[in-house]
Amino acid sequence: MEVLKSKTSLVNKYYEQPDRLPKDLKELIFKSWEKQNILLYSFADLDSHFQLAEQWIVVGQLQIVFATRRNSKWEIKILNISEISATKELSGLSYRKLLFENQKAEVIFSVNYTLRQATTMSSVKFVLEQMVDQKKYELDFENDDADSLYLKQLVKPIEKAQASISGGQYDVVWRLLALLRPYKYSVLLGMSGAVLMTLVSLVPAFLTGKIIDEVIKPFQAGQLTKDIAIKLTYITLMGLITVYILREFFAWIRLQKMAILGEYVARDLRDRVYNHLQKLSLSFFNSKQTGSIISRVGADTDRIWDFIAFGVVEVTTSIIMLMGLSVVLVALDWRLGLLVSLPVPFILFIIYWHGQSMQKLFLKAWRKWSDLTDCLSDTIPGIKVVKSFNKEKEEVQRFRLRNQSVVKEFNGIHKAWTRFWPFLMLTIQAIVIGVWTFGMPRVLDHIEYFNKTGNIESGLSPGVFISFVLYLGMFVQPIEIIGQMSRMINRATSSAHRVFEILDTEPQILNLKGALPLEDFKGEVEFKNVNFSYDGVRKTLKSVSFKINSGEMVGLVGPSGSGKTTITNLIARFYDAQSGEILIDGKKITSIDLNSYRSQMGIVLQDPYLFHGTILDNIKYAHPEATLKEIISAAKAANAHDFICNLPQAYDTVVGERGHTLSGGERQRISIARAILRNPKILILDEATSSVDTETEKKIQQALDRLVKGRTTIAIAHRLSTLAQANKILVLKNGELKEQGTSIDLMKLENGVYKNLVNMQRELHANKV
Amino acid sequence: MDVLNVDKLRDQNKIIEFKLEFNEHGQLFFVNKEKKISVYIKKCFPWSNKDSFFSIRNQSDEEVLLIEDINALDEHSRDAIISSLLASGFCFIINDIITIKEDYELRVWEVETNQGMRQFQTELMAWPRELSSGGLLIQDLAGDIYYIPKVSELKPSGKKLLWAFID
Ligand SMILES: Nc1ncnc2c1ncn2[C@@H]1O[C@H](COP(=O)(O)OP(=O)(O)O)[C@@H](O)[C@H]1O
Ligand SMILES: [Mg+2]
Repeated sequence: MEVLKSKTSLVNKYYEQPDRLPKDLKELIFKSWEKQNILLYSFADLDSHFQLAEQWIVVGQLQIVFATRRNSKWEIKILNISEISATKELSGLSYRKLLFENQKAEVIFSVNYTLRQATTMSSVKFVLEQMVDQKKYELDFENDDADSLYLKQLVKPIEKAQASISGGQYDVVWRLLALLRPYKYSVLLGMSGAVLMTLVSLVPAFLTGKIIDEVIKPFQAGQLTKDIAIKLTYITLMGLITVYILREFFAWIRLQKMAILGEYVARDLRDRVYNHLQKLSLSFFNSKQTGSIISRVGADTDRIWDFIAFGVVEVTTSIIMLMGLSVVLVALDWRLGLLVSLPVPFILFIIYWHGQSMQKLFLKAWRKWSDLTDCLSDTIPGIKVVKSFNKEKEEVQRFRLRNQSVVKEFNGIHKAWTRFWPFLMLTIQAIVIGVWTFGMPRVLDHIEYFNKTGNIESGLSPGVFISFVLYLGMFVQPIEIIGQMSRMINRATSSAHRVFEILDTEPQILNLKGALPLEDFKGEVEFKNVNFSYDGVRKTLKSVSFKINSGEMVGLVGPSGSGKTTITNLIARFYDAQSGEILIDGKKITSIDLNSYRSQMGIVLQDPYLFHGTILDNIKYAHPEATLKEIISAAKAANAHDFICNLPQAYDTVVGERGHTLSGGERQRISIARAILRNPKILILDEATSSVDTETEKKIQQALDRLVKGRTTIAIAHRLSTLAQANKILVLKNGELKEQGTSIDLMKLENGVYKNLVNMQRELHANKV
Repeated sequence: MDVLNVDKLRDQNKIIEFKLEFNEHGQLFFVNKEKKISVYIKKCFPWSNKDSFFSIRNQSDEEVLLIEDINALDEHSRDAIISSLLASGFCFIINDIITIKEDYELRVWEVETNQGMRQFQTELMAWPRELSSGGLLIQDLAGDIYYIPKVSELKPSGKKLLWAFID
């Protein structure tokens, strides 16, 4: 529900269009519809003359309603789906057109829309196509009603660009601060340190004034003896020493507590994010770039540390400092105090405004900078092309021009800030001059009166004035910090935003309550009318049914994109099917404890992934308690032992990123050794031999033949010959199971998909030789 | 299907027996003696050379006809092409820029188009594209195109907002 709410608010914030089908229209539709409900709908925003309009296309089981709002009345057109024989989509520069044709290939209806509506409209088109093809369409996605489907599809482009979490910027700040809760005593201590340090910092200037007024001045006037004056000086000095020691003590408490605390918070965040990442389903990783996920765990948590360790405290102490200064100054002398305090908000505003106006400069410089780096990322990978066309000179020239314009922008930035800071300082110094201008005559009055009467009740004493001047110098730093506060908060919240997005993503594959561990696992797999879709609309698997008995080897065959890998993803329960049943040993896959199930699963992929570490580590990953003997025999069975022993450091060779580079076939055999060591009941081979040469393939094939014995095996192979010994072959096309049977059975089918594939491969092979 | 090059055929003084038709649903048809097929038109150089080289393509995305200059066509076909071009070339034209703001990972543009106010979003790193004609193209997250025919003719306030995005 939360999720839908945030999608609704995205639509309201960014799109000027309704967040759902208007109520009055809905009522109108239901008046004319009987026994139909709304399967899905879409907004269509361009009329036939490409003018913006409010139009809705609403799909039921039998009819389509097309409604246009004209002068707050609905103009309605109803089409029977049975009249439609084809749907077509035309695309223009920045719009699309959906056309419906009848049996005579005449257009009976068309509607235009901008690309903003393309996601929802293509769902409409897709569903209608299904209905037209199959004469019926049951939406299997019953948990998605039409409203939420509309919302989900519509905000996709925004959600893809934006880390989507619930709540606005201030919620994020609160959530960030809430991270401090477990450390509330340290926070209290650190904050108290910061506040006390700030307050204590105000004392030395005050003492300086006191010395002048209470020691120097009376001594000069002969009201104090030298002994007493020296004694007083020492007392003041003792005071100063105490103040300095206290100040640094509080500073130490503050820095130490907050820095350490910040690390703890960052650690907690990293742990939580990483922990949560491991729970998230593959669908999350598919929707994000690896680099972006890595920087969220690394760079973003680091920025949050910076914010918590220093930002929060600095801003708080700066505010306290400014307020403390103002109070002290007004208390010392209200006229001069106001003269100094009143311009402060104005100065803060100027700094803020300057920051805002600099953003434009930064933006342009950033754009020019990315032009420059584009130049690099273009020509370095394409250096062969550059050289072969003899274009080095032109490229150098292009780079030089872009380099120049980058410098131009950066220098523009430097000019702007170097102009601004002296100007700002002058403003602050103008206040200082003001203090002198108004202060000095009063100091002189004071001295004159004092000299005449020995009384101190008039004007401004020199000591207070000196304190004042000293206090003035303390204004600059907090003003600077507060001026930059908004930028700092923005940086921290956008980092926090990216981190919270991960934490807010719900894992889609859950261990259901009451899920039971497997006992006495046989490894039977059965699909019953399984429908699956990655995006909730486009069906990737359509009503697929098959059964694999324990210990059987089954080959999955079909053109690329037909859904082979998807079937293995469902068997491994990386995703859950939307409808139909997947039974493992006759039990629903969702009723089985995920950990115990996955521990029975071995997967060998086309491009095996080895972690950074030794070969030994990589093989042992599957089964950390394995003995060295077991490891070697697994490697032998995988035809890997010999090449491993040929490496200078044998099993202790470091592989993976930055390590020894192994060939694809070698990595594959290590991953097979890993799978053998795991000793899985269900084995999935996804194009395990597709990316290697024939010689290596033979070795891998041998290894695989040993591996599949006694296990339920699902093998996907590009070269059909490798599936020769399969008990059964499943042939997929467009997500449908077209044929199943033994290779011999399938070859008998006239015009069969499998037969065609085999013949095609034979021809290809024949041509090669 | 063989690609017909109108200009070449005309040079060779061959009679071209085909017509292009445009109907009220915005469809373009290629008609000759044997058949009438549904086609669509694509400008080969929509921004750099928008008035020449049009590819007429069938529904399987194969070229049926390449037209370098529409004046080589008969009047009826020419009208059909012009109507079709008008339709397929639709995009929002920006008359004025009201604000450009940054939101999380998004740049939010509020503009006045030839069809009134509109808001759209781009990625932060997606820079507008400057055309040699002095125009500017902005493509939003969904893929919609917003076109400023001449940046120099925008109001000063709009130009100021665009400052960081143009040279
Ligand atoms: N993670 C994914 N998200 C969305 N669509 C996907 C994803 N993976 C695969 N698909 C789509 O599902 C269809 C089947 O893919 P797949 O099962 O990988 O095919 P095969 O393994 O047979 O080549 C393809 O159309 C593909 O584009
Ligand atoms: Mg695959």
